[in-house]
Amino acid sequence: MTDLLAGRFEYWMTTALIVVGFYGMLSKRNLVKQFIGLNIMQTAIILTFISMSVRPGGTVPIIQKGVSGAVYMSPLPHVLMLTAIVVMVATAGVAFALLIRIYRRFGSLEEDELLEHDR
Amino acid sequence: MSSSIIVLALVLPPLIGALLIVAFALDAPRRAQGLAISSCLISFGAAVLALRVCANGGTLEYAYGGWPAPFGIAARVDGIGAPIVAMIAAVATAVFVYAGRSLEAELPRNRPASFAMGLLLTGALQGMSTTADLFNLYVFLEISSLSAYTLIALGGGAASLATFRYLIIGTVGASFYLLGIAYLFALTGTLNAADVAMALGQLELSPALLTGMALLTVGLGLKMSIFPLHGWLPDAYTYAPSTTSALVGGLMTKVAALALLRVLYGVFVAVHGGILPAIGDVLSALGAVGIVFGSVMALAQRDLKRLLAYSSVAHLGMIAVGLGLGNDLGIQGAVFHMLAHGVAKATLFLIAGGVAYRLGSRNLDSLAGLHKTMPLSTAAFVVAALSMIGIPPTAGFFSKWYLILGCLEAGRMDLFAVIVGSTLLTAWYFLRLFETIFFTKPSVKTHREELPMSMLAPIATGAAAILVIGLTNQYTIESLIGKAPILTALSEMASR
Repeated sequence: MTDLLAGRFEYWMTTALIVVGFYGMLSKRNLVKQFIGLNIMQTAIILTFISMSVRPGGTVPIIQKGVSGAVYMSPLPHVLMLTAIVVMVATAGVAFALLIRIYRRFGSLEEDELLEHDR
Repeated sequence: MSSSIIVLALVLPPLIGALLIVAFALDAPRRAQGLAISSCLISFGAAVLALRVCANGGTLEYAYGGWPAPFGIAARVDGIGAPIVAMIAAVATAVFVYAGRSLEAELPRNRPASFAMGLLLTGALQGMSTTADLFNLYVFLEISSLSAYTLIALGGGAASLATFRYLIIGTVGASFYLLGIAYLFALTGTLNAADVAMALGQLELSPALLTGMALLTVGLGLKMSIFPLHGWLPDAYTYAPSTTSALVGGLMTKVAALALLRVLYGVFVAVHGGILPAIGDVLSALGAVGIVFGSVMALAQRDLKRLLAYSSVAHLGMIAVGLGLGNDLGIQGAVFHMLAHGVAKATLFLIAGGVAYRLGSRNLDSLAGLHKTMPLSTAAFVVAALSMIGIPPTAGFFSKWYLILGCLEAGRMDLFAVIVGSTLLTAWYFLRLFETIFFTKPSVKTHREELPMSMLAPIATGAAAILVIGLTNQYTIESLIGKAPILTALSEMASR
């Protein structure tokens, strides 16, 4: 990643966050914690996009009369991530609805106890 | 002008229909069903028009909202997309006709909502198959997945656990895909598929590019459930209501495969340095393992729907092999297999639902004497099963034929052996079913009790469609799929 990431602190941070989320999702035995891990990962991806739009010394991308030669932030990642956040919220809604149903049916959200029900 | 109307008429009616159901028909199941069927029929009509336009290399282009590509979101239907959108609309229509009686028995309370979700799924799949924009693909992918989660979860207690696992894995897949887009966007500054491909052609191979390509491939692989990313599929398909199994099992993974095809051969094909053949080798190797694994697991199942689910894993492996081969015969075979397997698997899931509806059980032993109780459904079952095995003149034979030709052209005798061998395994588990149906004496006295007309008609149409797709294979392959821009570009590159 050297040429793209060298000196770009924010990419390392977001990558670390993605790994944290992914690890939490795989290692936790509680369904809610798994979902929290997933959520951290999604948020980190959104941060990745947003950090791409930053230009040093950039300003809000609104064209004004009389101002020329200003450096603007890229608005496109922001717009894309608005959509991605909506998707994320919808996923969270469906996931929590499912968790409520699982809890009502099995009385537990621990993977180990649920696996015993399966048998 | 007219092409924009066709594209809009493909994607919008199911989405609008879903909203109309929520607004006006939430307490009226019949009205909801009418809305669902009619909006899918409009979409199917548009798909038929698209088939005519796209024959012999034509394409339909549309820029959403009038903003031209690469700045706006572009939609594009070509010879590969047109048969797929026709299949989606047709299968959805059949499932919604069937759903009237079937949902009455399985989900007495949530029928209108499940029609709305089914329409949302259909519209999103149409959007996925027509879009030419990588981010738009992500949005439609997530709409289709979210509606699939709700549809599967309607199956009850065990289904909600299976759905939660599917949701976690599916969202990881979508997140990987989104992160892959982030890398490509950082490198190229655009999201229009053709534009990204053009920009990638100017770039040197870099670790960032490789990461992006890997993330996109794995993300779509999860959605398509290529071995070993298939873990969510059997439970989700088994516990879902039977209409959902048909809709999700018949269509979703196939459309994800189509998206993978477009990303591999519409975008990555421009990257220098022989990366695409390397990805293709991995894909076809995993596909081959998936074929063997899925077939062997299917042999071990006692539940009809679970058997069909594992057979889906095997057949998606076959599509992956075709995509991985990367020559035009392989890709033609893969696309044709999406059609053949999509229709056959939807029909089989509808029959499995019909068996559960009449007999109250999906255990394989309860199928004994099925040809006496449900003769017409059994006939349709035989046709669909023969297509899964690959007996001419059913559709499944021709897709396997092209895949095998592709293997031979690429000189891959190992893949050739796996595909031919898998035919034997598939034949094994379906012939064993035939034996139970025709030759085992049922434990209780049975009398003829065919399915109601509204459930039988979609099943019979499915069986007929399998034969029609098989018999018209030459036209579909030569005039539609073979003339699609992706494939003509590939064969130009090969001849250079």
